[in-house]
Amino acid sequence: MLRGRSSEPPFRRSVVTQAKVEKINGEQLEVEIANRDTTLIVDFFATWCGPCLLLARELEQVAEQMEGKVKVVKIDVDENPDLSNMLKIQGLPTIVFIPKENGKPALRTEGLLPAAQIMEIVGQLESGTVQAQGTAE
Amino acid sequence: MAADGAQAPEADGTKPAYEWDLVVIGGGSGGLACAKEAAKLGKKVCLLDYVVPSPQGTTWGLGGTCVNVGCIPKKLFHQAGLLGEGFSDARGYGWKLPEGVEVDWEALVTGVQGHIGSLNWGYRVALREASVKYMNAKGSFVDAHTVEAVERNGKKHTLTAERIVVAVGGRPKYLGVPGDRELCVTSDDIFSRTTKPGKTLVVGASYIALECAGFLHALGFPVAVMARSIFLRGFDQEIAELIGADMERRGVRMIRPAVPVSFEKDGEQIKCTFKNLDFGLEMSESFDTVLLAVGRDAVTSNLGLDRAGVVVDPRSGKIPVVAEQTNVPWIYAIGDVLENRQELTPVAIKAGVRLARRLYAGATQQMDYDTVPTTVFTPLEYGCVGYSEEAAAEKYGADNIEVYVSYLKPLEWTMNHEEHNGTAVRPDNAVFCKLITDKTDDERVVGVHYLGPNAGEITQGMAVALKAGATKAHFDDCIGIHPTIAEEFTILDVTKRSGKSALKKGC
Repeated sequence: MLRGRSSEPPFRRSVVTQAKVEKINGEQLEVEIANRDTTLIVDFFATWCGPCLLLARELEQVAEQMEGKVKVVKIDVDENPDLSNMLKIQGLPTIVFIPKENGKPALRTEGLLPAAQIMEIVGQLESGTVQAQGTAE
Repeated sequence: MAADGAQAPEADGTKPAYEWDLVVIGGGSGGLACAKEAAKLGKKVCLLDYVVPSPQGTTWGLGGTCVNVGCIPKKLFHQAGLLGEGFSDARGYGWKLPEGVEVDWEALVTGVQGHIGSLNWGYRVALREASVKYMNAKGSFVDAHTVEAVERNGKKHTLTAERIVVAVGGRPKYLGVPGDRELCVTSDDIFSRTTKPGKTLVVGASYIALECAGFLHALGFPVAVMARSIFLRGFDQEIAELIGADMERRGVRMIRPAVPVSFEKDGEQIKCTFKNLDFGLEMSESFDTVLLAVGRDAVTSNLGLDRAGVVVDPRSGKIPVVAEQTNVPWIYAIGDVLENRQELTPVAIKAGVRLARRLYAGATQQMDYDTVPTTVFTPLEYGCVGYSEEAAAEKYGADNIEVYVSYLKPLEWTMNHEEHNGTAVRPDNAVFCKLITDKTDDERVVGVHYLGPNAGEITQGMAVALKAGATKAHFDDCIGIHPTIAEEFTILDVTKRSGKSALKKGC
């Protein structure tokens, strides 16, 4: 069992001791959004999608390193087709960053992003240096 | 009743009801092709695809080895390397490109993975459109007509099937020395790691080892290859040595003959202790990344084949088949899992499609495993179809074959006069052509070998010629396209037997 991880060694042990990203459904998402007290990151994925699986590892890292400052959840689009259609989820993975403040628009990206870049986006969203164009809510 | 006894009637004449006409275990090149074809022919098909994470934790989506950790990313990384090599050529043509252009490894990886994602998607859509039920679950046999499918979260499904196709493919082998699984990566991992490989050791002499070493070097990373003995076992050895020499000339270090003895952490690096087989000395050196490419095993150990009564080679895990049928008449196998068949995507696809047609459309056409062309995408590419010189000599007798050879330099390379480390970037006589004929059969062409750029594209056409039974006269009769490299095959003249030099001299 690994205890913790050093930051970005040339080789990487990717066994996470405890999964921090919870898989939820559409109903639970509404609850998460309503009750959030940090930035909420929603990962829309599919089991057959390679980059989604890679992103899952990156997000576990984000969830661990930004624990308390960010909450990360994931939704299987095959299991939640109505929600995915409503949100017009097209490319996979789609990551939606929902800021803590109500009224601030959410940011969404498509494709694999490394953990460092995800954390930077969160930082920029919170400090206001990046403005999301539209809302996904 | 089908010839494979698939539907044996009960004593009272009723037929047992299986939930599925066909269950395919494995969503790779072979499995997908077979499942889609069967569904197109009106059958009720369920396909199971599941990737057990590598020891480094890597996993991937639908599509199998080729799409995710094989042919596709390999070719893209190879292309990235070729583009890097092209900068030197470009300067020769007058392009004002600086030296020392570097690659953004992370951008390359994410770009390649993005394309792979679109292929995962394409397959998912194709299965949906073909009405194939897809399950991301690990399949194993409960009995000869029953497969248990277990999802990642542990949820189980029991599937009964009239027929079952095993298309589970293979995964990289490990060496079985201390530290190998914990510290080393394989082709399963290298195409999706966003951290730069750095100073890399590639262990192995397979085409996978040489291709990976080749593109990693071309992308600017210091690379060493550790091989136990010869390169590319099974391929034409004259060309295997030329490939090794070319890679060494480019700056890839060759550590051979040697085998790793153990791996251990050395700060942020990995220390490899290895044994030089010439002298029996043990030495060690540290690397940022160690990539093992020492062969592939069929993924049959947890398949429960014994519960189905299917015979498996215990050493390799591969399944012996006749016309893709195992010893259990209604259980079939295709792709890399097969014993004594080429581990190639197009082979698996064609075998899968033809099998589905034989089972469900009354077709009779068998898969033809002969004269299958292939290409090794090392920096200097190698395309071949037919017999190697060694195999041809063994089959036909050395006196009965004629071996035509030629060396040349592509016109496109003649503008590049740059040198690195004292050797020309584009040397004369770098490209090599070899044609082997059977003198006892009208000089029928039995082997074509090409070492040079665009090997895959050139060899494909040659393969059609061989399948059509071309003779040396056909090749000689065909007018060349000028100026190309491939035209050399229409004017081959010098034989090894003549003892004349096949090297090109001159301006």
